[in-house]
Amino acid sequence: MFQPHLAAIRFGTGRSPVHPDPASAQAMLDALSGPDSGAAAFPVSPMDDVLPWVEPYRALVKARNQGDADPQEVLDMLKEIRKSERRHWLEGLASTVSRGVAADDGFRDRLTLFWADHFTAAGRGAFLRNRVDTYVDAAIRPNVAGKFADMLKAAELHPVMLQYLNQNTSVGPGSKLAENRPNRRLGLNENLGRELLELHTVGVDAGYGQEDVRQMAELLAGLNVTNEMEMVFQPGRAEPGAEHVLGFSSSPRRDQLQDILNALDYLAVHPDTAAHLSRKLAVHFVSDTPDEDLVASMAARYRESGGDLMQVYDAMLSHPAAWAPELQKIKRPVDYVTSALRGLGADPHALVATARETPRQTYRDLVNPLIFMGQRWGEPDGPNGWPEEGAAWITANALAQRLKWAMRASSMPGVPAMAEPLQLAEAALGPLAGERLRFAAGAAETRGEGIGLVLISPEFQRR
Amino acid sequence: MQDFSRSARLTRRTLLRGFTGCCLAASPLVTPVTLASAPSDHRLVVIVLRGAMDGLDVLRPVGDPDYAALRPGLAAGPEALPLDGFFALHPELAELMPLWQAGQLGFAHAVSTPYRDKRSHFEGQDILEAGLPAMEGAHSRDSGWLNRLAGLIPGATARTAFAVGRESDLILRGPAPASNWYPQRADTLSPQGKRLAELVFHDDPLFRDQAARMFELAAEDAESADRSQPQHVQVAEYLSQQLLGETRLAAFSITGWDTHGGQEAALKRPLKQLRETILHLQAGLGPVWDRTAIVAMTEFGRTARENGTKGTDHGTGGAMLMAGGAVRGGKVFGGWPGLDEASLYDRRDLMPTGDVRALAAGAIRTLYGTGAGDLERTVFPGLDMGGAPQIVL
Repeated sequence: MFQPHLAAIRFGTGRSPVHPDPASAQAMLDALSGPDSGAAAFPVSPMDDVLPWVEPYRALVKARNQGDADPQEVLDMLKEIRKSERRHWLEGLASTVSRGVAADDGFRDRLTLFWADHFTAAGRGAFLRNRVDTYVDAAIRPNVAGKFADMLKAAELHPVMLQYLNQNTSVGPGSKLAENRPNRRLGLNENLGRELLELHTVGVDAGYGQEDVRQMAELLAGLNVTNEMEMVFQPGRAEPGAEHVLGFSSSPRRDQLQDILNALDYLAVHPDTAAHLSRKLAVHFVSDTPDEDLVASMAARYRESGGDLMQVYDAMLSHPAAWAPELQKIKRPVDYVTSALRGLGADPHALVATARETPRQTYRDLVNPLIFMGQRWGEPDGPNGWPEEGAAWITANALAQRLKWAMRASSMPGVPAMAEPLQLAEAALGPLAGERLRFAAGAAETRGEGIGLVLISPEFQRR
Repeated sequence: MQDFSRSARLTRRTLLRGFTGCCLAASPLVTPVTLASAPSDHRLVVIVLRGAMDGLDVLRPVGDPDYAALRPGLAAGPEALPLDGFFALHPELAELMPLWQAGQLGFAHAVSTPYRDKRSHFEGQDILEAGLPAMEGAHSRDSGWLNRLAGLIPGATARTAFAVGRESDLILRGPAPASNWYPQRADTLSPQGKRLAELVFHDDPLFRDQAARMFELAAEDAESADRSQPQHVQVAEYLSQQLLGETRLAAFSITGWDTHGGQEAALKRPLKQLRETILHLQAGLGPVWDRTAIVAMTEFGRTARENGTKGTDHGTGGAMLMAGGAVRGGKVFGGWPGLDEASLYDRRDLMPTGDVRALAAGAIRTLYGTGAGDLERTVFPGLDMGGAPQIVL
């Protein structure tokens, strides 16, 4: 059952020389339902920061189109936007890592990464390209301890998601807009409708078909993104008539957002959603082939509570299979570097300050190593997110990149001079540090190499 | 299409297992096996030109009556090298002219993937590498066409398909075992540190096997590399070594083609890298060059018209380059659509008249004897190979 060091490693952002391991599963849940101190201490740039660019840019593009502005000016402004936005993006990455390093208990941070991956989105377009962290901070993180329905609605209706899955180009074929503009070949884009069913709610194994996808897409038509980067429902783009998706029926009027919200509420508590999400959580936190009883008890609690995520986490943390001693999962690169910096006792404020003051350093220490380890921050391979299977992450090439990073980790900004590699093994792994590792950490020729060996050990890379 | 996505879904777990594959564990300290035991003697090297290469500038249709007017600035620069009377080659590729004359350099023009209209680099490259008609469904990015081809080659080992690059690119991602390495300084560990690392990895099979492979690839790299050379030359030389050994399918990228402004200057670096890469592969491969086909493809072409910043914007049809002793060089393949406004795609881009996948499929069929059914269903699902010219000997 519950083991403090496993709680920190498997469900948190790793062990720390500064923060004690969680005392109990209940303490983890209590912390999760309390205030989010990490978000307050390490803020992520809000959408407001990009809005001042929107009007000047659109005005300039218009002027260029009318021949009143040099095309070079448009490129120059785009470059400026990109430069400014990349700074926010870089600080967003540093903040995310810092939150995990600084957390009393990194369960919230891990859940945020899990749900952000579940609702994978990448930024598209001049203004939203670097706004994934903004999306996660607004739609995902505040909802990880609530009802799934609330997170679902916040994620699907966020402008970053609407743009990523092309909802802003989807128009009901029978809508007023399509009828008034027959020459523009307006029509549905099924992308969001499909992923909403296949990935975000009931899952690919649920009993739905192409007709459900089509009707879902028709139901979503009308959602758009405004110039102020806000979600808007435009009745003129909506498909008239009632839509039917997996037993849900909308009103036939279809002139309001409420039908979409009702459908999302319905899908959020669908039994297939309960099964899909419970298994996914168990796969992410515990094992690629999770104990069936663990999954079943989580799914039961999901159904009983109407998708109350705290209840589902409680079911997971109170099941013995969640505490199996064997470390079956591999840390993804972002989790890997976060837990390494945490184990080294890095100063989280220094990480953020470095990103702000010497961004090149953060590119060298975080951004580029993460890319080479296979996880490009903010740019996932596809809407199905990052792989779970350890074999996808531990390839010869990726392992070489982890090794390279590990050997440099002790000299990164904010990392205090640590006396002995063995101390790191103790602080970061405790009882999990094997005999071979303890020997190697003590036998290394240099401190940096000894620390690197601890960080590259299978014990440390697994959870 | 349906069948493909379902099978991709079913194999997701086996897919990821494929990265470690049984064969890796079983092959420490591999010395290149004899060529006779390898599945085919031919080498296919795919260069992904990321950023959308301007085919109309690299392979200039100087014989088209509308060309000069569309590109007054670009056409007026240093003179292009006449190829066949209609097309002329960008002057930065002048060093490749002997290959053209020897019939070992060719092109296809007005070609593209099936990607249309949105002109996004991300999606365009995904479609190029996935080899699919569209990126639909969550699993469309689970495998690339070169990996699916590797899966069809009998007797393939993890060395048969080799990607050189820091990232694991989509084109070679998937269930078939494949290797990936990036030439780099490997003095991360002292000799003592390496022994200790092996000790630390020893009890965990996943780490032990991948570490063995990592040390093996790093050692080969350290042996053959000249670190004073630019990175793209190191890549070409490293890849030559692999192609002289077991490797039959290889992929890597050259970036820097997104020339929205100041194109004349901006194209110099990527063209130099492309030219030097090809020449270093030729030199490095020696007699194997005769059995090698290099194809360089890009996600889409660029606008027919020069823009207001002496560059070009994202377009549709573009050019593909092929080189090597195994290609049918000395000619430009493809049906030329013309550049008058009515002939342009959307009245702005070169109209694609051929699918790069069909050209690649035809080459694969000849090089590896892969059946049309496998090519049209597995390697390039939904492709119709019919009518594509044969670009290899």
